[in-house]
Amino acid sequence: MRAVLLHGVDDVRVVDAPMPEIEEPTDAILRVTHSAICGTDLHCMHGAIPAADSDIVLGHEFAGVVELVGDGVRDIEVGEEYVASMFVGCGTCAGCLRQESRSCMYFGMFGMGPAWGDLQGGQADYVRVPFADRTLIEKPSGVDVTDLLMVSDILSTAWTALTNSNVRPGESVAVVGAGPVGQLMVMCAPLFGASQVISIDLDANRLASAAELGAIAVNAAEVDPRDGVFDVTNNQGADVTVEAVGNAAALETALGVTRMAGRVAQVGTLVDAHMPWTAGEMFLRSISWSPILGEPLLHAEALSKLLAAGRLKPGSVVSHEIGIEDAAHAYELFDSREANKVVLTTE
Amino acid sequence: MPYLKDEAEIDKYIGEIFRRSFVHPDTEARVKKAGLRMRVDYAEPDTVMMVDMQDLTVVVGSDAEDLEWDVALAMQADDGHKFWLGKLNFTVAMTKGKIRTKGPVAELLKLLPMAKYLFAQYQEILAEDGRDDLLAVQR
Repeated sequence: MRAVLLHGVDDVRVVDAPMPEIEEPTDAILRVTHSAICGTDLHCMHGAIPAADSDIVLGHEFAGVVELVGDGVRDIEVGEEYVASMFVGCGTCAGCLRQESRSCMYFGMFGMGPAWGDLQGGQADYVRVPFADRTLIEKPSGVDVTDLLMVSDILSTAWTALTNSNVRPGESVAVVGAGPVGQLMVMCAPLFGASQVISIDLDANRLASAAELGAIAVNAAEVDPRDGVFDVTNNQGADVTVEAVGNAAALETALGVTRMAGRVAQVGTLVDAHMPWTAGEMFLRSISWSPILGEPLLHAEALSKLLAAGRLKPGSVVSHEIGIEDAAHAYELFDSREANKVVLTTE
Repeated sequence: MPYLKDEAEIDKYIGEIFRRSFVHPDTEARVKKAGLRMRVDYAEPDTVMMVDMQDLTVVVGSDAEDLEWDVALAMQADDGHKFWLGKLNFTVAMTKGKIRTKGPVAELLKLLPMAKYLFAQYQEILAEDGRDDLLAVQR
């Protein structure tokens, strides 16, 4: 079968890989129809994620049709369409019962290498899905598969960030980064009652996309983002800010545009970065900072209903659909920001 | 009608209070220890003030615009004037959004205690210049 392999740093290629097999009774084999490239895949590609820089079949955002299930799978129907949660967990340990994917003793993330469960990714024709009853999310009737695909990671991540930040009606939300995740924050924040959503980026095209979704655009290439945010928040800063880039400079921007005693959610992937502010500065400003790992399984039901009701159309962030055989080119387009969000197709 | 009518008056009165802070016995050591480069953007009248506590200089106007700063404030010039008269609570003004701050707030707050030594000086500066009109400010 075809699979998108990270062969080494900045070396993505399509290879012929062995077909996955059922290994545990709770596994399913999914025939992947659609998979998306995530910013985290780019971090892997550039060697920025520990132990995830070579010999990995990439992809943690994928959907498809179930081909085969193990003897222990109860509720998954062969031949039906599903999207997979990017995270895998047993569903029965204390961590899972606390609804914390990261705390599961069987935690894994597709396509992220040995430090993340060593699971083959979904940018392939087929993928093995552990704990299939829990990991696979059923496609609601009438929902476009591209919309559903976003539940696997980026829509769930946006929703988790806003939920965990306790966004309350009337509050202002600033989002640093107007890429696909940032755009979905803009899309979701009004459903939490945000009175205004401010999108900050250096890229005019991405800001235009965020503005089309209803954001107040602040181009950090043209104006100090603090001024851009203070101008529309009575000089106080945003109640909640989400960092959706994944570098220390963006985090510093996020902290700087947040009001006294505001909340900052860290969605972008940071590995080696230090907190740009001292603990003292954080304390004096009473800023709360929390790292966010999206929780697709926790929010799948709500998001599926919102998709089915037409309240969210996250597939609108997808700019390119490209056959999996051209995955290397697709990565180039996404890495260069020529593409906003790329979906790889197998059919 | 703003209290301070132009950039020259901001320099003459608010600039002067910072210059006096460099030599005032109660504030000199604290200013030098802070060593901050503080920018203040005033509105109505519009101008920029740079207070350099390393070089002990105050620059007001276009020459201050491109100088590097550690902390920055932005406020109405009237609020700056009220502050030095002791009639504007800095932290309340920050919370209400009357004062915009950039940079480490911890460093700014360390400077606040010295302001109380200078309130009387500010009144003196205005009185010396016969500006009773500027002393008669309501909260």
